[in-house]
Amino acid sequence: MRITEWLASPGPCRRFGDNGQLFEGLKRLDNSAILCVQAKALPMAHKFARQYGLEANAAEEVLNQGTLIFLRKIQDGSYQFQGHAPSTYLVEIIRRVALMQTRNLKKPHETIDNHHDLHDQDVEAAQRRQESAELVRQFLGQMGDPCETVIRLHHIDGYTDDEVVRQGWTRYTTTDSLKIKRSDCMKKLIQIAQKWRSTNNI
Amino acid sequence: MEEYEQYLNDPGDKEERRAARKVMDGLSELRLQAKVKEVALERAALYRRMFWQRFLLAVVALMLVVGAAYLFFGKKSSPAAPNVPGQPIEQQSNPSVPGRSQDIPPQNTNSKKIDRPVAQLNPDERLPNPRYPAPDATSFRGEEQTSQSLKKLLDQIWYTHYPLTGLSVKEPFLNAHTSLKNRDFNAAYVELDGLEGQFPKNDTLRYLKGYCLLEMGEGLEAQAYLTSLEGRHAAWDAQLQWYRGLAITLTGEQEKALALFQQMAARPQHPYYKQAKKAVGLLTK
Repeated sequence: MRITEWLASPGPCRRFGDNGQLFEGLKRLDNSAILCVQAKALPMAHKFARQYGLEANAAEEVLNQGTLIFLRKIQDGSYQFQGHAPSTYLVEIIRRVALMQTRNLKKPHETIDNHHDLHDQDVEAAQRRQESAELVRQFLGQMGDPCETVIRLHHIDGYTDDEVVRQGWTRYTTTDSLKIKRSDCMKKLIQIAQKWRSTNNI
Repeated sequence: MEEYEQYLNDPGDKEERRAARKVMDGLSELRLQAKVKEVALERAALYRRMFWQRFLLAVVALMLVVGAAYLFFGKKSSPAAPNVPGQPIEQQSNPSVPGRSQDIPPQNTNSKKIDRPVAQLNPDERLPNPRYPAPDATSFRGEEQTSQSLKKLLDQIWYTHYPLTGLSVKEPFLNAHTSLKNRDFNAAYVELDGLEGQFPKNDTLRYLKGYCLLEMGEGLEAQAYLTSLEGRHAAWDAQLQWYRGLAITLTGEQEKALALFQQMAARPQHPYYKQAKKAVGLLTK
């Protein structure tokens, strides 16, 4: 990168003229859009981390967890764009995540006792999804390749079948054969999960 | 993301459906986690870049401020331009001489650049070359070749200055004074010669005439006038001593001149200390 390009590299929010465009970017899981709301919310994450007695580097973790919840809410439609800045909502989530972390550290804090219900539904739902994610990760590990790769490339990394075939990341040279293989693998994964549920009486 | 129904073996089986939903939730969560992780890396890179950009801009801004300050304050505190060799040197005009500024035309358009005689140089200032050459070689006695080498020597040490240091010129010497300022030595000589009959013992006249003869290349006669004034006016002494040295050199008595210049060069406080050192250097070559 030349020095002029390096100096002129745009900030993460320059691509988004208004909050509506930013919201659309977040819906598409556009990296710049996520970076933009994070950049706006990061100072508050640092502030909450200080206020709630968390460690200095906890702000980054709180920001990431808050972003995860925020994106989940956009994905499942529980956050609807109403013209407000998406970062405002993210800041509120971050505040709650910071509070939850304070509780997990078992640090008594005046604000927690006085003002907040610690059984935050959003945060608890996020924890449940986190557990599901861990389980799926384990199941994928059990399945091994090629199923793990085929499922990961599409469902986790978000690559299209065309791109996977073009890049040659798997042994499947057509999108049809890739789709068929992934369908088989998903069926196997669901069976493993079903088996696990019955074994653990969940 | 694909709908999970397509992966179900038995769409009616609630357990399978629940397990499939759980798997899809887990995969979706993994995808979001991967995305957040990716963005966190991008964020770290972005902040690193922003830090270095700001650092670079701060350095550039600092350099500009320092540069501007240097230009501004450096110029202010720099010493006055050094004397340019060969430029005219003016003394303070004498307030006791009425109408002097009207009477005396400017000698040289560059005269404003110099505001003190060469003899008043600071110890660390470089000695410029003499402003005027020594009198013509035709004025010298003796062999042609000797005259040329003497002229060459004198040209390098011919540090003369008018008005004379410490001399206050009043009537009836103002005409001669004007002629001397204009370096019209012949006219000054005629004027002073005429006045000498009326004021044969006048020190001002003797000093002016001694200087005039010196500039005309008449070393012996100049020497006689200048020597007669020795020890009579403290304010004149230093310059008189220097002019005597020049007059003696003019006559070709280089050893005598060297002794006199050495006396002056031994005293760093002497107003002609640098000139004397130069003269000693040239005479001992």
